Amino acid sequence: MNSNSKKTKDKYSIFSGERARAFLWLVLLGVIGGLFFGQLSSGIKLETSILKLLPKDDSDIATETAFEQFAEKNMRQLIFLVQSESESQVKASASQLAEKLQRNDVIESVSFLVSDEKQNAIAKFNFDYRYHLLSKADQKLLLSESFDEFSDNVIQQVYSPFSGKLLDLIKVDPLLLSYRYATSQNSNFAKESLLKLRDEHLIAEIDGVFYVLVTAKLSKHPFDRVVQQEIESLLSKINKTWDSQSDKVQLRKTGALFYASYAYTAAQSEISTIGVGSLILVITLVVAAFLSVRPLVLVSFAIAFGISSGFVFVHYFFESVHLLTIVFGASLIGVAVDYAFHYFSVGALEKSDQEKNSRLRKIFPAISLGLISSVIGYLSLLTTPFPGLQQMAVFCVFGLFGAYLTVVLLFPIIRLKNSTPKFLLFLCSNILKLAQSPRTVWLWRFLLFLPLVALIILFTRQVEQDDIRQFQTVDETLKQDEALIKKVVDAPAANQFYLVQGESVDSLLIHLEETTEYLDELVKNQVIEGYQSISQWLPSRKTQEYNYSLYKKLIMSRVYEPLTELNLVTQKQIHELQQTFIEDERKILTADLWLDSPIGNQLSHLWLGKIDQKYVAVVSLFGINQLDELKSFNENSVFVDKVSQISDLFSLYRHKTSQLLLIAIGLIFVILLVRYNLRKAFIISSAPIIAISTTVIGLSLLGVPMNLFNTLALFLVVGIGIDYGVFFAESKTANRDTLLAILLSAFTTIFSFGLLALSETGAIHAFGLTMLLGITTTFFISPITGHLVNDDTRKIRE
Amino acid sequence: MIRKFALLCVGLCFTPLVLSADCDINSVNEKLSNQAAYSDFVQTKTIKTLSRPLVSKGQIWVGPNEELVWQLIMPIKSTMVLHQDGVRQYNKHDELQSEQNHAVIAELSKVFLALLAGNMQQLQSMLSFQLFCGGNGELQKAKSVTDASENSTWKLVLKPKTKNISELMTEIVVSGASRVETIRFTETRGDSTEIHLTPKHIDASKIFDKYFVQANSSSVNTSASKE
Repeated sequence: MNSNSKKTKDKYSIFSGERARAFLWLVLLGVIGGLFFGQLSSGIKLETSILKLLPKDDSDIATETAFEQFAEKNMRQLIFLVQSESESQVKASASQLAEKLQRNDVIESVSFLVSDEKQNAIAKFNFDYRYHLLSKADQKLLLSESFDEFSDNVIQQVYSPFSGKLLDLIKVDPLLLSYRYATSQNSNFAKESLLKLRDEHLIAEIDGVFYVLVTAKLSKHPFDRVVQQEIESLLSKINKTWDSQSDKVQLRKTGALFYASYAYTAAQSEISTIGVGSLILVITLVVAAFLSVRPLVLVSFAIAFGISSGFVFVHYFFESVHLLTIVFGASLIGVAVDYAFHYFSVGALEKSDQEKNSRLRKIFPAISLGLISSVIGYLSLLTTPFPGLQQMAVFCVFGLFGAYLTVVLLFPIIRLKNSTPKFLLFLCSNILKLAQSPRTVWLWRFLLFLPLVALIILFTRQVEQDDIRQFQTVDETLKQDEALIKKVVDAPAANQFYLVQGESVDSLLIHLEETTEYLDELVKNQVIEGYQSISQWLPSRKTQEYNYSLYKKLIMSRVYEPLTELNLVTQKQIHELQQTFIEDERKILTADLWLDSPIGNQLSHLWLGKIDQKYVAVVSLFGINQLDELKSFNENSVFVDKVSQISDLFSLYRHKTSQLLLIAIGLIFVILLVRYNLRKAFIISSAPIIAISTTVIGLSLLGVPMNLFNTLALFLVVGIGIDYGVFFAESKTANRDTLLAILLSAFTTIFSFGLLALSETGAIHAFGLTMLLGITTTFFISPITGHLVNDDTRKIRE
Repeated sequence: MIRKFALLCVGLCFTPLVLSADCDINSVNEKLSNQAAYSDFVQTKTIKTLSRPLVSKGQIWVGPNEELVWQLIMPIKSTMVLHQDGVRQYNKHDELQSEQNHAVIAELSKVFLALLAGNMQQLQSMLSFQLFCGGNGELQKAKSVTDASENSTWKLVLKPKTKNISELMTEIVVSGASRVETIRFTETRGDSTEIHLTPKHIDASKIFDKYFVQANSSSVNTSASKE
């Protein structure tokens, strides 16, 4: 400490007063901490919606909110099929399931039986509004004034052996208008699913096996782990009870919750095996390399500080942090550790403590230049209008800076012993010797051709895969269950639909009617098999009034004569009914009334209500045969394809990222020119270029497609590659210490991210593989470029 | 000698049992199974709320593939095709009017089909059987047959087992002698329908085929392939 008084004349005056610097670090830690707690108290906002990644102007808030709501409703659905070869058993078991579900807190409602009550309610409904509801077929009849058809039909029904209940109906609805409407709706729109209504159950029979449908709606979000566990435990209990029964009963299920739950468990198991595995490897490596725990502790500080700063500043500037940013930011660890390891490895030979100032002195230019070049590289992401990429830029800049500051401010105050095992040093020396052989130049020149090969591959082969379905972890059982349920229940497409809007409820209904006319054409051309729209059950006011006017002629005509002849209805009753007809003119079926009705309830997921000054509804689609032919109808009726939309977004991001990658390398090259001559700058830049080319070629050979995530991984490869090159350049000689730092850095990165290549999840596997190939290549090239960059004796003769 | 004579008498006494096998469940079942494919019918509906019964005439054709054509001719022409899943209805112009697959209709259709086409297995699964025998006047429950009269009439009382049917009908009575002659439905409302059948020994497949072929082409096709 006495030596500190001599600091004034010291060339590197900033390196003295290490206590002051450490204190400064603590102050910064306080600032970060303070910001973090501030954000914590006002609420940390974690953004998970993919939509938030879209540039601001493109998103139409109404559409965005609308399909978030619709997706939300869909996501809360749980669909079960209880399966058994015994009809009585399947009904009993289904009752059990429905009851257990009903009693659970996380379930909002269960739909199981179509009770007689419900059926009667539907019939009454049809009866109350019979003068305003009219099927297309009957509309034609009324327009052509074929009134006889109506009385004929009544006679037919009366004489049929099945007439039963209709005779009562005839007294109050002599032309059976409500019955006609119900029948036509059922044959046209009640989907011809395999499920039939028997004894109040919705039951299907296929090849001697019975299936009963039970559906439930969650009261909470399906991605909530607690909710998932509740449901999983409920189901496992039920399965146990059923296993002990004599008649075999099976449960089939589908719903967003089950996919999320599976993905979670899969991720959890991978985190424990891969995560724990890599953690052990990393710890072992670091401790073995320095035979001390302190470097490990210090590097953890650097990482923690870096990531926290990144997070806090992103939240500060954007008021929320997107999940994608965090995922990418976590991988920043790979770059951040470079500075720390360089610090630890320097002075591996020297055993003296007093040299600790010199550690920082030695590496300061290297890590500073490394930091600047990486930061400039990432700043290029800020130039895009995409919030996601902007956040990543801010995260990386502040994160790296944080790690850097930890190394510069905090590390010097901690005393480190320098004892690296001799075999490691020996290894490094040997690698360097290899790199110094004359053949390496030719090897390097050969490798310079790789970028060309990579470009050719990128342009000629279809190596990209942006479809987001590749990111889904799917369980075989779930997949099979879903296929079976879709077959039996005849469910609509989950991700493609039409979103229709209107200024008022009635204009919405009119737009829906126009949309269904348009969709009828599509059905005729077999683009889709069918659709479901609220307007099929709830006509607009205009249509209802039109229907009424058509009925008027019929009601006031002499169509009743055959009926009165048979005494099915008296003349007096006719007059009364005609009177009622006149009075009922105003009895329009409103949306509120309809939504309350049993069918309205069932189709309520199609009604999104009022969103941002407009009324919005969904038209769902069945059996999409030609997806490409589906387009928006007009500005009020928009076609939404969630999967394609997100895939397109990812594709856009990927393209932008690829472009920026090349720009970033260019910028870095320019920065390097400030410090080095052209030749050195070129050699340093060549390492990451060769590394990413090798990665692209390698991935292509392995059949792993390029998607957004592994393209982002390439950014990291570049950052790391530049760091290694700069470290070597700054160390003036191809230094064993530097190589040790690089070795440790590379291997810790490989152990932490390369191991992700073992994951079953497509995206993570691709990311890990990219990192693995990239970092490994960088590691092997860096001694070569490191030697070349310092080989001043070589004149440029060729 | 006397012993032989006694045996003969006993034998003779018991022969009627064998000869008058007309009114046992097996032969009735046989009669039900072997009804004519093509018959005329006269239907009389007695409805409480109406002063006069409704009388109609028509024909029945039992088609292949468990389908049955019920065609009304008087007072109005209308055709129904009954099948396992429900009923198709055609108006007087032979245009397909509606297809009803509602569970109750489907079950009723199955019962009718079974009755008229003579599908014993189906009948037995849906209804309980009770056989009554005897000549005119008092019909006694068949415990043992007492005399063999040539017009041995029988009456089969069928009661529905399933909820859907029992809510509509209390019983179905099939009666006849050498063949099935009358089917009578009694509804829970108190109304009853009596159908009197007369077989026609003609092959009518050509006449009614259109209701089967036509059905296949014009039926509502809403099967969806999944996205």
